[in-house]
Amino acid sequence: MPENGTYMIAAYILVGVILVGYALSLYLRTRRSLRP
Amino acid sequence: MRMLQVGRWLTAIGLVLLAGVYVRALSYTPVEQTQGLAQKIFYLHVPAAIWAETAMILVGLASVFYLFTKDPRLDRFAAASAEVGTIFCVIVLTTGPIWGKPIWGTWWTWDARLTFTLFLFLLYVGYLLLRGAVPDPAMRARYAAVLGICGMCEVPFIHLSVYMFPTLHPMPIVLQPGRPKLPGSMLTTWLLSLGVFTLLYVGFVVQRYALSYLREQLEAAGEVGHA
Amino acid sequence: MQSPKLLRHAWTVASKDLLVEFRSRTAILSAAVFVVLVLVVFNFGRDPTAVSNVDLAPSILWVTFTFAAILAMNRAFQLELENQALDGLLLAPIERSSIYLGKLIANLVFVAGVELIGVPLLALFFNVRVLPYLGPLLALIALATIGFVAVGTLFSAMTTRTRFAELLLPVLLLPFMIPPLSWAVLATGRLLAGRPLSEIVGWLNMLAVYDIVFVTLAVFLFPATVNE
Repeated sequence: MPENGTYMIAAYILVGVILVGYALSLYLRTRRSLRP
Repeated sequence: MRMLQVGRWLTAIGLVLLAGVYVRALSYTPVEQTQGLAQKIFYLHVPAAIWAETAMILVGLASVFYLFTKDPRLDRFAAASAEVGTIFCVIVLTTGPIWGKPIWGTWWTWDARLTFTLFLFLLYVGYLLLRGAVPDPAMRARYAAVLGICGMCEVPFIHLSVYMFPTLHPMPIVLQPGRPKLPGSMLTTWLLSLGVFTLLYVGFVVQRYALSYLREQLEAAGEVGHA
Repeated sequence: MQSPKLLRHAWTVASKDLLVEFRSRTAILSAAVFVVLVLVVFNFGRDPTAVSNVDLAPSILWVTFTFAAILAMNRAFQLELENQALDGLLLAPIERSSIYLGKLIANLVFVAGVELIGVPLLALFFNVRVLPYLGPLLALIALATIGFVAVGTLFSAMTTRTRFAELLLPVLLLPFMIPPLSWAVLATGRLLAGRPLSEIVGWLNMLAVYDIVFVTLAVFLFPATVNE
């Protein structure tokens, strides 16, 4: 079995960062638009 | 605003479930023998790819109906779907090479699927750039709809053109887990992940839709919307 | 929509554009010089000992045409921006689709002019034998050009009224140009290598399908881009 766990961990972290980052960006942008 | 609340809750639930998928994929799913741990990237890669493509088709369909009905809700949905589709496209384009490096031995290859996703990404970027470059809302909606329809119609042609290249160039052997035959527990993990990505897509789109709506309200109230 | 009327109006719009072009001649001359320069740049941007001319010629030809066509199409609606000429055109009692078709014809004539300069220059500069395959080559160039000029004309109607017109058009258009371009490059390579014509018929058919789909689509979508 090839040793490539590092690549897997990198991909999982990256996807998490992208999804959470986008969720955060949406949250912040909507909050800013809600403030009068 | 009710819709925004719904979107936020869906996204929050989706992110919590994503953590669940991570735990299941990493600890409770067997390791594939020939590819090793890198195969597990596919539990994230393929669901993201499915939604990146579906989002483009939804943009196109919404655009078609927008041109007939001129319903601003369709335009808001198209804008939201395009932005979320771009994010999913980024996931596909980053996890793809990370998987490709250990399996194919190279970060990038002009493999049909990879090239296709790159095109999709460029289409999305062009669509968002066009939206950003037109100040007038009605004009922006019409222009975006025209581009969205053209984009949807171009998808089959990109398929045709990228799938012709591999017949001329030797291609690394693409192992395709997540395709037909998959052991039960792997399939369960994959389906679970697909469900979570679906939930995230819906949550993101609902929030992004609400954001467009809020900005329109602000602009109508005479304030300058945030860019 | 009466089709003879549609085409006659389209021709009127096209001949107006071409007349403006012919009177000044700046655009076509600049485009011609541009083609020469791109070909010269290609000559310096390659290693003649590594890749033979015939192998490289299709790429050179199509990259040159791509850039020249984008430059040409940027110009099509820019012309109408001065003195609100587009509003005048829209007020004319003709179908919107015929305005699009007219612009398409004018652009095609313009790009064809540029390509007619490019092909002999390619043969001259890179010592490629074109004459034996001239008929099929011209058919191939015509089919590929119609496809991307159709999309480009539609897009340029939109981008000219945005902020970064010159930059936005290529960004939007290139993804749409690549399918016809990739087929054209593959077919040109086969053609110049002296392979039988039957090998490229498939590509010609696909180019024709692309042309039909996008010309039809653009005719229907164009009114949405100018509807004030």
